[in-house]
Amino acid sequence: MSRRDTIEVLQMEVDIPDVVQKKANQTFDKIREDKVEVGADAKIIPYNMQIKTVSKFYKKRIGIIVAVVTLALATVSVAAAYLNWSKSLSEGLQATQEQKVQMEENNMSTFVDQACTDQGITVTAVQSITDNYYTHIAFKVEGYEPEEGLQPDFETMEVTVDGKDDFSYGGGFYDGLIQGTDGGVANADGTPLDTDENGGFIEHYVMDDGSLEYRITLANAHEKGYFINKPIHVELYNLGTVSKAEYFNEIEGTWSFDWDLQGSEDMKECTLNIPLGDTSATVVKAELSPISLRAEYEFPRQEVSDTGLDENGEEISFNSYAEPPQLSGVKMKDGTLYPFLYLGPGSLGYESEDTDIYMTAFAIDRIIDVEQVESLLFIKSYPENEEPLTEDNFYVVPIR
Amino acid sequence: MDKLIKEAKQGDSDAFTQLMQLQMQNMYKAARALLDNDEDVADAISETILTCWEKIKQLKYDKYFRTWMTRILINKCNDILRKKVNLFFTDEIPEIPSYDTRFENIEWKEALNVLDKKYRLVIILYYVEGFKTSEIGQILDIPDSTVRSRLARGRKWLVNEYDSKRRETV
Repeated sequence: MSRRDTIEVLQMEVDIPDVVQKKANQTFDKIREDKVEVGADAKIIPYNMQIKTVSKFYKKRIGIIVAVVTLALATVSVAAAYLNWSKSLSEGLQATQEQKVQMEENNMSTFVDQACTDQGITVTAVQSITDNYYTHIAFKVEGYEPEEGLQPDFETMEVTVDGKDDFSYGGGFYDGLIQGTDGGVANADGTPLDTDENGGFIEHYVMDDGSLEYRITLANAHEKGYFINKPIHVELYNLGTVSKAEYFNEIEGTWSFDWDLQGSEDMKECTLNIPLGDTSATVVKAELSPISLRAEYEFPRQEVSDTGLDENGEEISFNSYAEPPQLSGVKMKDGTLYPFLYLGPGSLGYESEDTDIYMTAFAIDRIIDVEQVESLLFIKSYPENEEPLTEDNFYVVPIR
Repeated sequence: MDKLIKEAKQGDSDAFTQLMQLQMQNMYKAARALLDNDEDVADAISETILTCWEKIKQLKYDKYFRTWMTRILINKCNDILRKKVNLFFTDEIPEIPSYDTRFENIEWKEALNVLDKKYRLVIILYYVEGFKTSEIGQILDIPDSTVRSRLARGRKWLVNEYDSKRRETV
């Protein structure tokens, strides 16, 4: 099947399977019977939540949430504490010793050291790095080793900050892989990449001491200082592995943590007012922290007409708003280009329906020394044939 | 569709049903790009229908209905991926009905399986659902540049896949 054939087949009309249509019809019936009002907060009982089972792979049946032991051992050591940085934050965010010292001195990086043991698995909240809009938190997991080649994961997590959950978050076990300068995958320790028989990159979840590290990132790009000095509550539920997007539970447990986030408002805030070529976008200001980038543009809305396919595969035309060139990376004073810094979570779009101020913000994939940043890079064009991006492919906006 | 959106926003459940029935193809394809079985797709779509009904009054601009709905759907799919329980190695007999969907849409599923998982969703949203890269960025909460880059890599992957298949058959 050629590329064109594949896409054409995907555009074909499909038969909606009975199981899908039947459940949708049940929902429509419920709505039409006025069982759900507009604005109500109802829930569908999922097919796959109708039964809860324990894997028979594990002979020892594991009790459900036997006990949660939370040991609050919040201590922070100051002298040479950077030596204790978690691997996922130190290696994963490519922090230098100098950066570590600096981030500890201004409280952007703080140590938590709060442990919780359930089902013989000890999870320790180790460290957080918090700026105005993002916080990374590293948890050390001891007593669990996934089968080689499988990706460990907690089944679910719940996070609140100051009792609220109106922010984005995501998490995953650190696998030793990072984004290289070219945007491709690289081993964080600099060793060559290994691939498995299917060509997939081999991940390295287990640390030298047999532990694992789970890293979560919280994001709220709309409220400055949202996370700083706020109480945080994290609950991690059940531990298992993920394969082909499917979670396989191994250990039923709950690991619960409460502490006060710290963090730092330190950042470089630049007023720019620099137009991006002839795009009618003007970068008004930017905020750079060691772990995130944020830019605001003045970008008058431009309705653009475009074509697409409707639900029947027929070509239709529609209107939408044009997008300004996207912030992608930075150029350092020594000439080094970091064209791809996006780690996420990220936000982009007009700040409200009544304004022409467009905002983009995202957590970045490495710690940068903001005082050494010379320019911001906004995507202008993509090279032909997927060649690497060069400075010519960006609007280069010097910061002051 | 515009008329149906307006009527649905006024609380007309029949118009809403009609509107969402029109989206079943789109919803099924996008959800199937993320979820491996039709039961999960059924859950994601039903949750999406319910959420859209609950929130449709908050949709300020009707022209963004599909982007808004698709974003809700993707979030529901991601919720399911995170919360999924193990159904395959069970000590108990499942209490859910069994559906054999192996022969439904076989060609379509084959084409879907050709696509590497990393690129499936952006390719479906771009080539099949006709969203612009900027709209896909809004749906997935990622920069336009990342969407373009995934699309470019997806296209390249498809070409490589085709070339390797062709070499196998030569």
